[in-house]
This record gives sequence, C-alpha cells and structure tokens, in this order.
Amino acid sequence: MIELINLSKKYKEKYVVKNLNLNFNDGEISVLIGPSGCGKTTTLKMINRLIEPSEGDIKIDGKSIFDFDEINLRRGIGYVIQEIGLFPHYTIFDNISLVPKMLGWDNKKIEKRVNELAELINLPKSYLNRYPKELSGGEKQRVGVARALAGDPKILLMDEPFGAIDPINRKSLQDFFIEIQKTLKKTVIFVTHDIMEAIKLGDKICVLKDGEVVQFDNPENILKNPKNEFVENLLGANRNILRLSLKRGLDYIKKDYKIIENFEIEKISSFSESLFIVKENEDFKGYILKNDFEKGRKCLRNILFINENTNLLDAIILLLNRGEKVLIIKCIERGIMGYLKLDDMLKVFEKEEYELSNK
Amino acid sequence: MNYLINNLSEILNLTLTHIYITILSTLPAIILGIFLGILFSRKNFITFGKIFLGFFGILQSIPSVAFVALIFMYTGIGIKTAILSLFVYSIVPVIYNTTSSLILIPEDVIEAGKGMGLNKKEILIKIELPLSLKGIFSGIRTSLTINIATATVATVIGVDTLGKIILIGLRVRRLDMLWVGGVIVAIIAILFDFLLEKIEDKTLKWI
Repeated sequence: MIELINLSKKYKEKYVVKNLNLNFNDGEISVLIGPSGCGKTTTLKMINRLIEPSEGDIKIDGKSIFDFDEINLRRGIGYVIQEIGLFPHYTIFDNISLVPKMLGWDNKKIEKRVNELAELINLPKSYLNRYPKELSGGEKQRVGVARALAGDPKILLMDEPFGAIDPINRKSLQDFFIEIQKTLKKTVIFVTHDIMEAIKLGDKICVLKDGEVVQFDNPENILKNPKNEFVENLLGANRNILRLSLKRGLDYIKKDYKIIENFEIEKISSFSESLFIVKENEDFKGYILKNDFEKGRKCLRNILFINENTNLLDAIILLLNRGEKVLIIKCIERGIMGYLKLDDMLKVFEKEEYELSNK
Repeated sequence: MNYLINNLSEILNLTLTHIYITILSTLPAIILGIFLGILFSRKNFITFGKIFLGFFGILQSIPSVAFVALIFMYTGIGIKTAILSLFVYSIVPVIYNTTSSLILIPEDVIEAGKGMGLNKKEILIKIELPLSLKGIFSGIRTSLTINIATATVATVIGVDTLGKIILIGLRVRRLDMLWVGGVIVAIIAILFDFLLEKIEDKTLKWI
C-alpha cells in the first residue's frame, strides 16, 4: 500500500499540493484527475522523489520513501510518461532492458524477460532491433509500458501515458492496459485529465483541485454522487452516459447468429437467426441483419470486432464513428462469442436514465 | 603541374607538417572542448560558460594572421606557438556546440532516465552525451576545417606548412604555386571532413 501522509509541496510560499492524506491499495489502479495546476503530476512525482515533498511523508508498505536510497527507490518503481520518454538512441530491446541491466540481471534472464514483455505488449520480435522512430505512436507507448514493467516493480507510476495518442489508438491502449493489469495486478497511480479515461481505468478516482482532494472514491460512486459542483462539472452534463463505460459489452451479448459462407447468401430465403455473419474462406466479409434482409437490402455491411472487455460506451462510440449497427465480440481464445446491437445498448442507457430520475 | 612534380618531396614534407600541427592542436581542443562543453551545460556553470564563450568568441573574431602574430609575441617563434594559437582558435566551436546541444535535450527524456533510477553520471553517459553527439560532431568538424585552413598562417612565424608555398607563390607571382598550395589544403580539409562524416554516420545509426 502507498500512504500519503499530510503530504504538501510548496514553491516559495504557494502550496501546489496541500496536506494530502490518501491510501492507494495494492493491485488497484488509482487515478489522479483534475484541471492543470491541480497538483496531480506533482503528487505523482513525489512518490518516486523526482520532486521532494516540502512537508509530510509517503510510505510504501509501511516504509518511508526517505528511508530508501533515492536511486534504488526509483529502480523499484515503474515510471511511464508520454511517448517522448523512450530513448531515441537505444533500440527497443535496449530501452526495455535498461532497468534489468542496472539491477544487475544476467544476460540470459534479461533476454528472457524482454521476450516475455514483447509478447505481453503484442510486439513482433523483429521490432526489438529497431529504433523508436521506426515505431508508431501506439507501439512506442506500449514499449514505454513494457520498459516500466521490465524490472518487475510492484508499483507503476503513469503520467498521462496515453495523452499524446489519437483517440482511437488511445482506446485500444487503454483496453490493452486493462487486459494486462488483470494478470499483473500492479499498484498503479495514473495521472490523467481525461475523465473518460479515469472512469474506464480507475478502480479508485481521486479528484484534485488546487492541490487538495475534492473526492476520492470508486468511479461508480463518483458518477452517482458527485460531491460538489466542481466534480459535477468535471464529469460533464452527460455523466449518465459515462456510466456506460462501467458496463461490459459482454454482459449484453446476443447469441442468435449464424456464420455462413459467402456463396450461401443467394440461397437464403428466410432468417431463423437475426444476424448472419458472412465468411469467405478464413476472412470475414461482413454481416446481414434480419430486418434489412426482409426489407430487401441484401448487401453486406462492414464487420467490426471488439474484445470481451470492451465497455458499452466505447462500443457505442465505435459504432457511431463507423456508421454501423452491430459489433461482433471476439476473444482471442474462443473466437466469436456473439454480437452487440446499437439499439440494445441504447436501451441500457435509457433504463439507467429512468432509474436515476426516479430515485 | 611541373612545379608539383619537380618539388614533390618538399610538398609532401610540408603537407605532413601541415597535418601534424593540425592534429596536434585540434585533438587537445576536442578533448578539452568537450569537457568544458559538458561543464558549461551544468546548471551551476551556465553563466560562467556564457562569459567564457563570449570572451573566446571575441578572440576568435581577431583575424588569424593577427592572432598568430599576437601569440608569437609572447611565446616566440616555432611550432609551439603555432599549435597553441590553433588550439585556442579551434576550441570555441567544440565547446559551443557541445554546450548548446546538451542544453537542448528535451527535459522529458532526462526525467524519464531519472525516473527509471539512473544516477547523474549514468544520465550523462547513457543519455545526454549520445543524444548530443550530432552537435558535438558538427563542432569537431568545424574546428578541424578551421584549423586546416588556419595552419597555413603558421608559416608567418616560421613553421613550414603548406602556407609556405602560397606565401612564396604570392611573393614571386607564381600562379601555379598558389594553385598547388590552395588545392592541397582544400583536399586535406575535404578528406578529413569526409572521414568524420563516415564516423558520424556509423555512430548515429538511430537518427
């Protein structure tokens, strides 16, 4: 556990962080959020002593960070910043293996670890010999996460790690991070100014304003009961929609679909299922909805896949962006699991809205 | 052309001396220059560095002939004077380029290193120096090119470099001598620059 105890930081006479008392639980993602200048990054950097606290203390598993050697403290804490933090003159392998090397691991162990991480972040092995400039923004950021994980630290500090990435890639990076966190169970402190990101990733969210805590709770409670106007404004007028990001698409899955081969389309006369997924050899060609078919529209629509962790909000946004009605849920181990329809997801939202307004 | 063939051995000697005093003055300038360049990029020395570079910048604006003559007044005739003045002349670009490229490294990269637990020395060696190599190289190339050209002036204080051919050629109005002297100096400069460029490309694969 990480405990912040009466933690303050002041520059000259001005407090940028004021008397914080917070506990971050092991294995959870705790998100620090607030407008710029609220002290979120300062708080984060005090944990690995990139910034020295002016007052108060930080304890990691009961031991004060001042009782650690500064350098050893940092080697034991993973640190992820925006993509620029990769060292451009090091290959991907050298970037990832930097901390293990400093920790004095032998070469065999280092190589094994790097390969393990490359697999984890879904990076082809051939990329390990490349330089950062040869990678895309999303790939670089995944390498940034891998580099922070290399020394197998218990704690990860992440300072707006996905901030410089375009929205679509940011979503997939978030999904990727949720996925790996499920098995890694690191204690993560995550700084962001994106409320959707905070709700999606956070087990706990800490809302900061002018260096002080406004509200510290899980996303569900923050969305249900924002403590004051400031938090309400931060959540925005559409906070009921944001609640959809706490629900998994998988829980609203429909299974009355059938996979058919492309040449079979012409033979279809009636639908028993409400969705046909059309395949040709191993490629998915598209889908046809029962309703469309009965109205005489037989052309295939574009098929979109999501994984089993995708939340309802991301699913809806994806559908709206691409102008489609149906998403197929496909997981790596089990293949196609079923589908989600836009109408069904919107009904979930309506129901929520109704319940909230009658409370 | 006849001049070149008839005096081949003397020209060769002059060329060797020319290269010799260039290297003997530039090498220490590079080593000390990089060292000072690093020092001047450290927070506590930035102001001092500016004053130092300002002063040496002024020295550099003195024409090379005058400068060599000036040093000669203190240290007398001979190779020592030539090397000393070339050294002073060429150290400035090295310091300047080293300092400025070190200062320009994005703060994020350094902080990433710090956050990963690199100590100050490791940050300098593993991050800062490699990232400023391009600038350091361009400083070295500038100072070498300056010195190869300026070494011709050493002739005025009695060190026989390729400047001798040019100087005599000028006095006796021999166009062929001027050509031979000038072209050889240029070829040396181009060759050295080419060599350094190759080394630079090898070192900076990641750019």
